[in-house]
Amino acid sequence: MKPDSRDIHFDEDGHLNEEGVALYVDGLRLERTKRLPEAIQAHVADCQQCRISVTDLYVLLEGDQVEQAHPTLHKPTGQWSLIFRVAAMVTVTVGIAAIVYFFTRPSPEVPSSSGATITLAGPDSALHPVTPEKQPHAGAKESIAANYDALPELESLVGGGTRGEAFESLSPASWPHGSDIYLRWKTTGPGPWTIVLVDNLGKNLKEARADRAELRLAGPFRPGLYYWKVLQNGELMYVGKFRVEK
Amino acid sequence: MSAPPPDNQKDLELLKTDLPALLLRHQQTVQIIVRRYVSSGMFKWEDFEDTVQSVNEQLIVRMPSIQSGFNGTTLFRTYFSAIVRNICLSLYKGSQRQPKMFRINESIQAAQDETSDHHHIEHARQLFKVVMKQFDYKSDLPRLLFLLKLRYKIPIQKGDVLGWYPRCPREDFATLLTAFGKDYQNWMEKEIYAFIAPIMNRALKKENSPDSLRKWTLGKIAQIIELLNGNPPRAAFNEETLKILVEDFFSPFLLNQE
Repeated sequence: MKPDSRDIHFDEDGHLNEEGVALYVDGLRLERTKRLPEAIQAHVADCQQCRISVTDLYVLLEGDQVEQAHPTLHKPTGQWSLIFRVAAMVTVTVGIAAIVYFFTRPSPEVPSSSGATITLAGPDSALHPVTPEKQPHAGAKESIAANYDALPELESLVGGGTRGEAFESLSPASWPHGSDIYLRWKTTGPGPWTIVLVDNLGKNLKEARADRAELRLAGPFRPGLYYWKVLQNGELMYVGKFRVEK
Repeated sequence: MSAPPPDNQKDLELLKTDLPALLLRHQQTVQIIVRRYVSSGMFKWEDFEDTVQSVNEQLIVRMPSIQSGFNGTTLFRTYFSAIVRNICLSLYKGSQRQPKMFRINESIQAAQDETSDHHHIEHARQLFKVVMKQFDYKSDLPRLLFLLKLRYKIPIQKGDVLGWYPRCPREDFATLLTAFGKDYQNWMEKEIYAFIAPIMNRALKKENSPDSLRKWTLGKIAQIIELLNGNPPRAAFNEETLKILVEDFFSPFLLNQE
């Protein structure tokens, strides 16, 4: 019976022995690492000590000629060739089926739950525990789309304010569902500022003071469109907006 | 100087029948390895002959166990080199000598000897690929490369996502390419990890925080730098030079531009 790689290529501490290190280096030099025993590949991917041994030996042998014929990393022939061909056909068939499934499956839906309003935490607080969202029903797709409708009175002010100072948002325009939101801006004048977060129905969700030109809003946020107003001394300096994607 | 042309069959024959002849056949291999360790500063030049002799003394003692212990799964010369390496390391152990180190950034910036620098740059490129190859198991490498791109704010492409998230939903895919598919130099590090963590968690079915993802990335970077430098060190790569190598890896002509 063919001895297991674990018996031949590993020492009593579970690391590659000299023959194991040499085999991996041969694999690198012949660009046949995928043909190495699974146990060796998995171990090296996870073990810095063995990677150091492999890399060091590789560097020592750099420039040295290497034989293409190899006792372990050779091209399979005969019955093994047939087995590999059959395995390749099965793999391709499964791959095609997976591609067809991926492109024809329905869009993922929001997970079901009892439903509750997600409240916002303060700017420096820990992540608010996620309260699962409602399972969308027949009319839910409409309400999800409505979460992204623009709010006319703020939409017209996006990118500007009522004061003349130059103001520029440095924040991304969209965020993935589940993330915290980082608001950053650049302006000529000093702070502090008051940031007001508004949803697309015009409801003020949160007001916070920012001493520096940045603010973290702890998520998660319901997917939709949001506006953020920057005020100073009661005057509106800037209106920005961002989307939280589904 | 170079070792004799490889002939694994000849080595295996001698391993069975004539150990002294086998050791003689691989004397140049011993000298090449000791010379490389001398060049890296591990041993002094004036001790070269003595070091070769010490290595041979240990090899003579070990040859019978090499003969009985070698399973023939690898090329004998590679296996023999691994043994010589370990003997050299055991001779070096306890030494206080600091190895001199090659500095790639000085080579690129100063460029006094073009031929030598081109060789060093090619060596560094190849070494980087060899190091990264060792992380290539399942989807570990595509994810690591993706995080390196984000770390150094290199614009991502479609394949960079699909490598570690082959079933990425259209929404996440669009979000990632919109955010990181073009220049994003003004993004802060914490913004990037806050942005990417939930998407990676969905892909990997984990609950990693942005900070733990950041620490994982920095840990891998430290490991890559250690591998590039060797242990004991033979080079002095740092994160600045690693960034150059990563950028070159994704844009191969970067280091060749005038």
